[in-house]
Amino acid sequence: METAIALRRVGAHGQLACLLLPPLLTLLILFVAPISLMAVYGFWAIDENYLIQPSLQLTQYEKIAGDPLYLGTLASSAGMALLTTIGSLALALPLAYYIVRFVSPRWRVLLVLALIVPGWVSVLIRTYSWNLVIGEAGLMNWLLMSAGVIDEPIKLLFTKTSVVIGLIYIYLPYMLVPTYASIERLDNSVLEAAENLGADPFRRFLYVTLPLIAPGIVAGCVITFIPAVGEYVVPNMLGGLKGMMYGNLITTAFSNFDWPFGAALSMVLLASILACLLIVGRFLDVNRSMLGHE
Amino acid sequence: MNRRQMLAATAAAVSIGLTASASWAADKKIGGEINVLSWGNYIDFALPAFEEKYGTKVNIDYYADEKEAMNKIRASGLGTYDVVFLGVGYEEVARKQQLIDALDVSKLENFKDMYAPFQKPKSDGTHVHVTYSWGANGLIAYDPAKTGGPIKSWKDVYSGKFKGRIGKIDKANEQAYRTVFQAGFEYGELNDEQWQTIAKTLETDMPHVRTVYQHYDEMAQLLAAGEIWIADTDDGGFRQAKAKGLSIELAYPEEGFIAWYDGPCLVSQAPHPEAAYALIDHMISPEVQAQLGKELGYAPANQKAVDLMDPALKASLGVDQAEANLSRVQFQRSLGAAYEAKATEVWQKAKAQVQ
Repeated sequence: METAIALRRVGAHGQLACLLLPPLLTLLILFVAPISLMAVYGFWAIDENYLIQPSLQLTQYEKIAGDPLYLGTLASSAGMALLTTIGSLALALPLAYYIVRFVSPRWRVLLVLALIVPGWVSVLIRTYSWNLVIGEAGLMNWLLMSAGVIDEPIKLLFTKTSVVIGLIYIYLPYMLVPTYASIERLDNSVLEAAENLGADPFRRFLYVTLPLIAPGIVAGCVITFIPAVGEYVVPNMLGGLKGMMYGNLITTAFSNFDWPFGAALSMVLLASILACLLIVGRFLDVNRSMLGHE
Repeated sequence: MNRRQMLAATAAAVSIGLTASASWAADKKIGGEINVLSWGNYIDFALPAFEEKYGTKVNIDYYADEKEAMNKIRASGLGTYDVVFLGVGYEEVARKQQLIDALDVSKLENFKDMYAPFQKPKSDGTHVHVTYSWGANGLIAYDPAKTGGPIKSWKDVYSGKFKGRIGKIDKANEQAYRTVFQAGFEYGELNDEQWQTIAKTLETDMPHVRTVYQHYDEMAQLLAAGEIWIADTDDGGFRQAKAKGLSIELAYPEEGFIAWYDGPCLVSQAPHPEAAYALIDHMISPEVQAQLGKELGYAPANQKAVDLMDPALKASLGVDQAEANLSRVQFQRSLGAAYEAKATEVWQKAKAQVQ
């Protein structure tokens, strides 16, 4: 009897191992191994012939810490990514709310698809299209000048503003999808209860809707902020001199054969993002505790 | 048949045989395929004729600069690519990294027709590339209608009259030598004091600059859109932009400029060496070289190509002065990883200070 139970237990463990093994192996091969390799490269150096020399030194990290160019650009990229996240949220939240609350289910899917489908087009093409819109001889200036609003074209292209506009455009679907999903799952009876208890629309949104859709908003913010910090296509095409981001420094290092320096820059970016996520996680835990959601 | 008749008949038969054999060799189909790394829109026009002649399919992989090409060879492993187009010193770096092999130029029928400087081997007596195109770099393209007159020097460019209307190529080593000439130095290795002057000069110049671009197609678009009036260019980039209908002029800056060359190299452990040699020879043939001038505005490296060009093209490429120019111009070369790292650092900082 005991042997049968033990065998059944081993069988259950075996099944669990079989289920876990493929994803674990995938994670190990496609994520842990390349990142570990990158971490190792960060301690190496290149010689006069651009050949990589394995060693154990902190030269690359000393270079990053000792020159304000690198950490300064990282801080400015984080600032631009934050603006992108806020801008995307400001657009996605009312849009998702409107679609869920005021659009009939038949049209809802079509509307969401219409907002997501442009994301299937190459980032390069979508970013370049903004060149044609906000350029000096672009559509925006032509419309404003034709309407007599301005006398001279606005120089918007190749500024930080143009980069943030481009990033919001690219990352809006990333924010929209989780926000939309969380609003759609909202239980109407909870809102009706709040209304019956005398809560005005603003208080209903602040104290009922917002806490309930917070997980979707946080997910949207995280998946928008993280890739936006390391972005390099949009700043390259719309930023000119003024919109350089940390991703451009990484690209330059790798394209100059300096893989160890590129790896070290990438590790600093990874560590900074993980630190941000930890801080956000801790902040959300504190808030949940304060709101009694333990 | 007497002995003399016999000998004559034998000689005739051998002669016919040799002619037939030579003719067969010239039209020999190699078949298969070949993997080539090249700049975009650089050799494409010449490939259909090669594919038809040798029955070999060309798989072309594009790169944005030579370093990316070398990274691709390393990343994909030797034995993947057959031919890579490298130049201006990168062929020396690739050789040191054992990414390319020495070329046996005796296998290249067209090599003997190259201009004399392009037939010279490296200092160790080997050839690691053949020159496909060459020209001048460190030049200035400008729109005279916008600038209100000719531009002759870097002093004119940064006079203050064109602030916010200047575009620069986003390549650290190019910016280094442009600024070297602007600062009045000789092209080559620099000491710390000279690097400081370069950094200072760029620091003064950058507030005048509207944007940077990665390649000359982008430069043409920016000039056409009126975003910039003055731009860094090389002669081929200028001619291609001009061919698109832009009303721009070219200036060889009074402070100095430099020459470049570029051409195919044989990748180490090339899986299709016979096709690789055939392609390299095809790229330096008079026909392709003449077409290169017409298609892309680059001067030919094979002097026999000149006879195939029309007078207008010859005049626009300045091929009549080619030999004289080649004898006095200074070519770019590899200045080492330390130079490159310093140039990158100086250029990145110059860009960052206008953020």
